Amino acid sequence: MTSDHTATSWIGRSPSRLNGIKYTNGQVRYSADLIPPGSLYVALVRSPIRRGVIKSIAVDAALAVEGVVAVIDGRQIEAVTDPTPPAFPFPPPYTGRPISGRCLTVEAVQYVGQAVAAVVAESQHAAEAAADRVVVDYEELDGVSNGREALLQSAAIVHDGWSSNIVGEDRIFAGDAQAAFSRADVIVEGEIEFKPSTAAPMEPICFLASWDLQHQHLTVTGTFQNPHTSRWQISSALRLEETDVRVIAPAMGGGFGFKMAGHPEEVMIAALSKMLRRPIAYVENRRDTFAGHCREQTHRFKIASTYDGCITAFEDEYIADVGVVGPCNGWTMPLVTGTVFPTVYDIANVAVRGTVVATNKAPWRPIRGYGKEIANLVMERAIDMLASRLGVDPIELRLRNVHHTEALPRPLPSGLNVDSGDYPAAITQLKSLFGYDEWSSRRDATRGSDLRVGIGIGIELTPEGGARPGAFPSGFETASIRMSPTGIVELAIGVTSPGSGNETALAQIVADVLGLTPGSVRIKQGDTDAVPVGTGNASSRAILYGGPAAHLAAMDLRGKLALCASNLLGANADEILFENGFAIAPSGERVSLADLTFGAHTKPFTVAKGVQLPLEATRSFQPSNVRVSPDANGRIATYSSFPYSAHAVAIELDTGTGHVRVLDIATVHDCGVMINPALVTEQLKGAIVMGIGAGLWEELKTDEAGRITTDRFKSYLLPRATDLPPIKVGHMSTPSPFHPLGLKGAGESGLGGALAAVTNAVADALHSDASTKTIVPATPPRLLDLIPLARSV
Amino acid sequence: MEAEINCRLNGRAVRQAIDTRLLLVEFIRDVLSLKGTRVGCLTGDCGACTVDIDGSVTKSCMVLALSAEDREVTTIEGRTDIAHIQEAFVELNGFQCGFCTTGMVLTAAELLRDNPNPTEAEIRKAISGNLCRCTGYDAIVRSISSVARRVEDVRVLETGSKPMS
Repeated sequence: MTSDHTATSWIGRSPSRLNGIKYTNGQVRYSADLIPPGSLYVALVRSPIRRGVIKSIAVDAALAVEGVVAVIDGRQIEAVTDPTPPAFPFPPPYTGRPISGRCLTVEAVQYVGQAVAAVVAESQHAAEAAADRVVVDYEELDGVSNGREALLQSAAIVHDGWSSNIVGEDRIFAGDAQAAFSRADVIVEGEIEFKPSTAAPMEPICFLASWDLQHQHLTVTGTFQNPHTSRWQISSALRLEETDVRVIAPAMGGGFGFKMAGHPEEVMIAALSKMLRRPIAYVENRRDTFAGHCREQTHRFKIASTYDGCITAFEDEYIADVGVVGPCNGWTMPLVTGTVFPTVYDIANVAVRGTVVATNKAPWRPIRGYGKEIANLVMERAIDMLASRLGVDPIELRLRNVHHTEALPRPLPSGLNVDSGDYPAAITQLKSLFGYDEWSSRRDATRGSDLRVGIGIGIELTPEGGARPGAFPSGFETASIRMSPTGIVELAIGVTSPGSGNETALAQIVADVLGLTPGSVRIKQGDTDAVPVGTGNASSRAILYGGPAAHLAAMDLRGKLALCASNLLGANADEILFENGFAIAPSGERVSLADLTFGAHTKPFTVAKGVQLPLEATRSFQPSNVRVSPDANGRIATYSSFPYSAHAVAIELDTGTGHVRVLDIATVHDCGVMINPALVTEQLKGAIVMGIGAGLWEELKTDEAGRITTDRFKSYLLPRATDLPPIKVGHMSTPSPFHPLGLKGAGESGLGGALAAVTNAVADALHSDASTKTIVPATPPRLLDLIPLARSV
Repeated sequence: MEAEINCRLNGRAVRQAIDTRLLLVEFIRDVLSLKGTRVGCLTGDCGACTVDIDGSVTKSCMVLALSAEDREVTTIEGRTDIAHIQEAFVELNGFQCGFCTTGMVLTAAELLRDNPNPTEAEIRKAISGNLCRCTGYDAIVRSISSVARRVEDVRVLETGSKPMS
């Protein structure tokens, strides 16, 4: 890794989390713990209807509630703000089209739950009580309630200034799918309907805004996954200079995409603080977090092969219903879905047609998987259905059709360039880790029973390091390292942690270069006034991009320290070793880094002779496996790295109740070089369990009027400890040839493969060819409908 | 409306006039400024607000502050006797974001007090009222299980033999 890789290297070791004990004894402070005394609180009046015109807003009864300071509506905020710009621009031909960018809507409502007015009070209770007393009179209009309807000629247009409800389309081709299907020996067709789900981090959204009247400066503290993006959006909307706004992201209670930039409340809270000249807190209640839906996609797919199981063609046509398009980038997820096909498989003829449509539903919130999990699910379901038709073992069919390691790097039809991998080895390792043959026997033995075992496989390809041109910011990460006069090393970096522990891995990288311990390195993240511009947390980039940036900066700092040491110890700078907090000359003479840096700052003419002070360095990393010039098909490549994972799940289906019990989970994962394998493993397990939850239990439901009925954890079912077995994990490492440290990105991957595996396991237990349609999640009522169709042998 | 509450909190007598409508979690977080107890749902489903009342773990969003009258409430800040559990969670990565962790640790402490040698299934059942979205629970179960094993090892060291079971 470093040029003098020593036995004490921190790369590949698993020191425990920096400041770990603070997490377990309750000393970590999250946003809602930091509400300053004297703050006002906000409760939002939200639309109960899909679409309509606001005729009047009566606020007198609300203002009469004790403690209420103001009731602000969209018109009042409109007078002092501009619409929030989108975090991601629309791809052509829709570039520049207006979005729903108002933090409080003006005149009309576009979805149930849209904020219409903000009640500001001295306490949360007063604000909520008063919000119930605001009376809004609506003229209700017909809204668009689903994706199919959105495309009808007669459909209402969801967004003003648009000529249709199409948000975006993508057409991805390789070879000649039509010809291949017409020649095929075997064709299997299927459909997947994915119901909406949500990330549901344990910490709800929270934003605290404080307008400093004297300095005309705004500070917003909160649950920000992308602090610099939010700073830009907030300052643009408030008509402030970017540098007049400071965005701080304290410790975060889980992100999973949900806390990416673009919540209307970010701007609203800032505007209210500026208008009312008081610090203001918005703490989202759990019920409102369930408005943050996503994943609603319907796919129709077709797969063709020869009789002996050589896959010749794959076709998929899908529609994604992304609701209203706001400043957040959630709506881009289904455009990523199509780019992942045909994942790890060598299929010459591919045709993918994706259509993303707007409806009168809340805007999508991003989620771990970012659309890729759906592509992996569809692909793996298609493979399993084909295996069933051919009568070939699903593992065997995969082994026959995955790319071999020497075929990589290789472009996908979408233009993305897959870096490295050994898929056959991963599948083979999975087979033994899972005990595939034993589980197959158990499955066969329970075929006709009331309690049936099903086993499922899912292979996931996870494009990472998203670097889409035009996104704010895009495609680089920056680290700034400095050493204080007393020798404290501090790394300020633009990537943030949602609570994943990436600061520990960053400290390992720096410690490795400077011969220190990770615990002695300070990591500064999530403060736009203190760290370089960066994306924050998205697309497994913290270590993938932040890691090499930190490495480069640390190497520069080490160069300066080596010169200082050379001045002091009389050795050549390039011969100085850094170990255990010392700079060491070949003679064995040594000086502690603390003494060295103190000397550099106090005796610059001798100790720091020839060194440019201060002892700081700022470096950026840009990925090399990204291509912005269009290929022959006009496509660019905006993901640099391709970790993958192979999953197996065993379940037991109770044919009397439709209940599914998860019996076993095994995963083999390859993200290239791992900085901290224990942290990678635990991240992966979290992703796997999210995939299991999405496959079996998690579903946001609404009534006919579009109102959420799954408004708490009693009805939106997250996996609990008793729902799960221990998870077996195996790691492989095929380093990326395009990355200086051989990384491919960890943290996001694992969800789609586990989702696919558990979905296939349920289908295996059902053992039925009667239905080619898979509805996800596989809840008991849905399974009870399918159980009578199951074959008995 | 206000009323006076008299209770013991983290070993100290608390006597204070409070809004009668306050939930215990609001009293702890907003009045006493003890932020280690967290709000994840306010419907009793997630367990982030777990505290100990008279030796039983309780979801503090499910009870009014006044219901703690004459009782002994202990939050994570008041537990000085569970460092070994907290260290095990650090060592085995029994947390990621940490938001649910204080509730998990308190629940684990109650389990280990009542059942020093729990099986994996018993651990999973004990923490099934506490949601974690980050870990998938494996590392939490391992952390708790390792405490049980360590306590057992200490006992073996002290007595020179395994206890009869």
